[in-house]
Amino acid sequence: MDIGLGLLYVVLMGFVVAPNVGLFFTWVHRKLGARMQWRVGPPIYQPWADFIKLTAKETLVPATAHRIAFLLAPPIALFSAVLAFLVMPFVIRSPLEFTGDVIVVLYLMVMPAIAAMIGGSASGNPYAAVGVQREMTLVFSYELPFIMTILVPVLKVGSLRFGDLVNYQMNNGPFLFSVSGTIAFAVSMMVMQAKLAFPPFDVPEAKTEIVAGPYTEYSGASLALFKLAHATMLFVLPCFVANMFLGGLVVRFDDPITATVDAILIVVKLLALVIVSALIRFFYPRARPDQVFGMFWRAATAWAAIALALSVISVIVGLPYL
Amino acid sequence: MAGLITWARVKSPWLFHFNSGSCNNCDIELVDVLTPRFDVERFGVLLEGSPRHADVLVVTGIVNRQAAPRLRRIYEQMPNPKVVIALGTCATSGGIFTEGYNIAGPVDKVIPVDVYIPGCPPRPQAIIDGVVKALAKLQALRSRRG
Amino acid sequence: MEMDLPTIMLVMVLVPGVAGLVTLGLGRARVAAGAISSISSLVALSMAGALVYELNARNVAHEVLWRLNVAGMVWEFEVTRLNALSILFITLLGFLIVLYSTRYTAKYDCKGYYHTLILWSMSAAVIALTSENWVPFLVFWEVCNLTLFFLIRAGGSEARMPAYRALILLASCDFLMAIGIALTVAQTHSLEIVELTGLSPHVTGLIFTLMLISALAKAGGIPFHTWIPDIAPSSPASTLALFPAAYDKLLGIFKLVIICHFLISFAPSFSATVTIIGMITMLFAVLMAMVQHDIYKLLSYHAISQVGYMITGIGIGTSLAIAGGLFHMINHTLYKSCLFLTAGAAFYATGAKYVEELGGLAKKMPVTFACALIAALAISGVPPLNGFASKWIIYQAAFEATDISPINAVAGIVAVLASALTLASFIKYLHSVFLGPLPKEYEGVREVPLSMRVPMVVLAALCVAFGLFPQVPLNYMVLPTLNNIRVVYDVPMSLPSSWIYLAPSTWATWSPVIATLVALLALALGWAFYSVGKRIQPPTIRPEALKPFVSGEDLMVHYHGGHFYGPSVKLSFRGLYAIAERGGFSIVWRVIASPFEAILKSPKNGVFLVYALWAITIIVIMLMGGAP
Repeated sequence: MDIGLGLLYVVLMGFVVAPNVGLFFTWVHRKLGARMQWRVGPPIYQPWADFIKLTAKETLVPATAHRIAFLLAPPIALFSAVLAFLVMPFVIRSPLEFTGDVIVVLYLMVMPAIAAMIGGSASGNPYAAVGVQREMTLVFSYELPFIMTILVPVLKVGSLRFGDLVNYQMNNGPFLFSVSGTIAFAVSMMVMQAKLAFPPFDVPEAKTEIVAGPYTEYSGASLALFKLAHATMLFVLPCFVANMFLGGLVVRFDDPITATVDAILIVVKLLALVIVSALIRFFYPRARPDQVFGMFWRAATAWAAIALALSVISVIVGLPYL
Repeated sequence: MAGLITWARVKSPWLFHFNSGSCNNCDIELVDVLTPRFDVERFGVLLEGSPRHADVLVVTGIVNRQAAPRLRRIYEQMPNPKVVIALGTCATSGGIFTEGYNIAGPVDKVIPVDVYIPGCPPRPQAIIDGVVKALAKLQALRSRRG
Repeated sequence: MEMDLPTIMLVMVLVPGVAGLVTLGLGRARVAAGAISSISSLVALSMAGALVYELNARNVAHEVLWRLNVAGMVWEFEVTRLNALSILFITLLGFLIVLYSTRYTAKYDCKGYYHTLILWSMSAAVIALTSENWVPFLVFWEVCNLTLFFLIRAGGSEARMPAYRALILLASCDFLMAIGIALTVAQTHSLEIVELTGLSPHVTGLIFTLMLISALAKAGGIPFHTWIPDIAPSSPASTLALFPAAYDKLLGIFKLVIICHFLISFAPSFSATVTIIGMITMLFAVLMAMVQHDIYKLLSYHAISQVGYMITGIGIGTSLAIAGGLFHMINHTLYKSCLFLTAGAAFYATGAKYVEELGGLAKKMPVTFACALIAALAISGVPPLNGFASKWIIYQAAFEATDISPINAVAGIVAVLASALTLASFIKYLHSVFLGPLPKEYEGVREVPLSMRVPMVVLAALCVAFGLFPQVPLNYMVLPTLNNIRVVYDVPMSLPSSWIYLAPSTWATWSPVIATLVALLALALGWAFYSVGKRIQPPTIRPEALKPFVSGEDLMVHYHGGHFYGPSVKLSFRGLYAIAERGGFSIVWRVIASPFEAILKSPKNGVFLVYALWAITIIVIMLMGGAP
């Protein structure tokens, strides 16, 4: 792969495909929520209208804010979401993958939250400070079950590389079709909901409680970038879960029929994850921070531990469907 | 390009609701507008928690002396371009509280108002009509220096 | 100029030693003392750099420097790749801290011997590291402890008791080590540090335990860690940046590697023990750190937690894990010292140390804030900084070593969790000290002087450099150390694939070029949107608009870091915190050290007692080793 093609891949996939598909997924959420509430819902161009409108508004930087940290946080969030996506397999095995990239992606997916926290702290607003604390509590609540669910496929395959995980699933069937995989998939869906800060886990940006959390002082173009980063995460996280548990998002270009089937399957998998996330989001009210903490540290960790134990047993004994 | 931006502003008005001494009836009617029955989200209307995120400031209630500086501050803290809607008779003209000792006047004595929606309380249909008129004003806005 | 290694080492040791004598005489002439000690430590640093360079150029694993005949014993001094690694960072940190303390010690009434102590501890540490004979090793190891004692004492009168307690703890653990060494010498009948073979498992276990205690106490592994948070509130930040952040790790982990992977044959039970100790250290220390109100104590608990990573790496025992542990050791010295220096800078500027008092210093002290931000992100393991690089290697090693023992997978999980908790704690630190609103009394605060800024910037820059190009320190410094030790688990090192286009190299963690490219594109996009937005809707200057939105009020509520994590962490883990408050975790210290204190009813005499016992043991060792 030469430099030009690589650059094209980065720009196209990372900065054109990922954010736009992410914005489309936010529309899916809102439309589905509207339908669940017997409403019509916004038209399909709504997320783009929101983004353009926000860009065209004033960007006010409060006097108590640290200007550079405040303004740098949204691009950092966008950068980490895009980079996480670029490393994962999507349609093709990523040309940027390497051994151990699972862990790198794990950290890159925490970075939008870190960026929101630094930005919120930097804005010097008390609501933002409370939002930062609540977001951090949320983050370290879900990290433990998340790492345990990631370990389930990793231990089965014995490799920390996305390409290997996807290859294994293409040969042996998705990890979803095994007991430990199902449990781990369920826990990772719960973690995905928390990572996106959607109800029941929208602790950080709890409108009725702390105004707008870390984003209280953001306006205009910086807010637009934060929302874009959030939309990209709405695309990156289903890709991650699909690669880990649902068989991967790689298209086999052997013959037209397999290719078409694989392409349709990619769309189906991603949409299914987004729709399930939307259903959970519009069904549940918000949980309190200590309830969230308890849910993850007790229930989610316990189930993830069970899944991990089952996967270890399956490797030792040799029963792949366990 | 300018057409695109105006289109985006009209298609995505985000609300911030401020009660400056209202009896709450107008607030209830405003929240009614945001319920599934009237579904203003199909027009892109969202209720936001921070004025920094909002385009449209909806003020209910007669502005009493305690609320007036806060209302002024929140108006300033909203980024341009913005539109102000005075909701209800009290906000529009003072209503039955015109002679009150504690009022700083109807809303347009404190901040510039773009759209007045009279009614005590105005029906949700009237509120939606008012929002549409506000959007028309937003469309006519180029870059207002507030 | 072709210098041979003995000359290099001689200059490296003697120049700081002599300079230390000179600065002792200079007393209160702070600038002169600072200049002399900076120059001499810079000389030592360049010697250390030359040393590493020479070793790489000649591609040797170890070389003997001198053989001295002292009182009938043969004292051999050898430089190996392992101690060259430690020596380089000892001199680097020594130089930077000396530079920093030039102005910083103005805050304390140090009587002018501060620089002497740093220089002498540098020389003593180098001698201890290079000795191949137990006796000079023990003696100069204790000299380091003594200099640490006086450096802590420099903090003023509240530092007296913690200094004594620290010295007693370290000295008593070293006394146990001396007993272990005595056993070793009895077995080998020689005073050389050689591999032990052919011993019964019980004797090996005993020796291992005794020496492990001392290494853990020095580095700060649970349960021997209590001296570090004890000295933290009252010591000067430069002492904390020097010893608990750097020297203790460089010496303690060095010792741990020698014990585990050179001295004894590393049985699986030893591996499990060390790994479990590492896991407990990582987790409990960070849980304690999250609820601290004194920033020095917060940072010191994190020092302990990071040591857990190193201990885990060494405990896992595969070559990748040991490399990860050693790489983490040097990365830790960089970012931890930087963090302590920034905390010291905040104290220098404001005089405050508690999260409730501080806030908003980022606008007044931008350089300090930038360094603190980089170091905080590095310790949290955020890519592409150096903390992430070494933690990544440790995670990979842990998950790959699952075949050897399932404890390693658990260690990996605990490591990732501790990393998340570390992040939580540093968001709190950054928010409390630098971000957030500026209290009225700090309006006049200014940035710290240049001599204090330079070390912070250098350390932060090294954090970034080691993160972007980890193959440089790994290939030239860390990986060659594996030649000096016996690696038990011969798992082939799975270095990440070299196929990273645009950045071909033999050992590439990930493509820094691609990451930088994406970062630049994202920043460009952000800047584009921001400027387009400004063009479309120019911001108007409205003073009221720029006040923070507090529901329309014109007040500032300072939600400081002391409120962080109250309901979730403290409430959910209240059992743990209750035990900690009642001193449950310092039980081991009290068990080991208090007999010495209690017997003579005074810490001073306790110290004398410990050292008396220690001296006796050394004499016994020498006699057993064949001295007349």
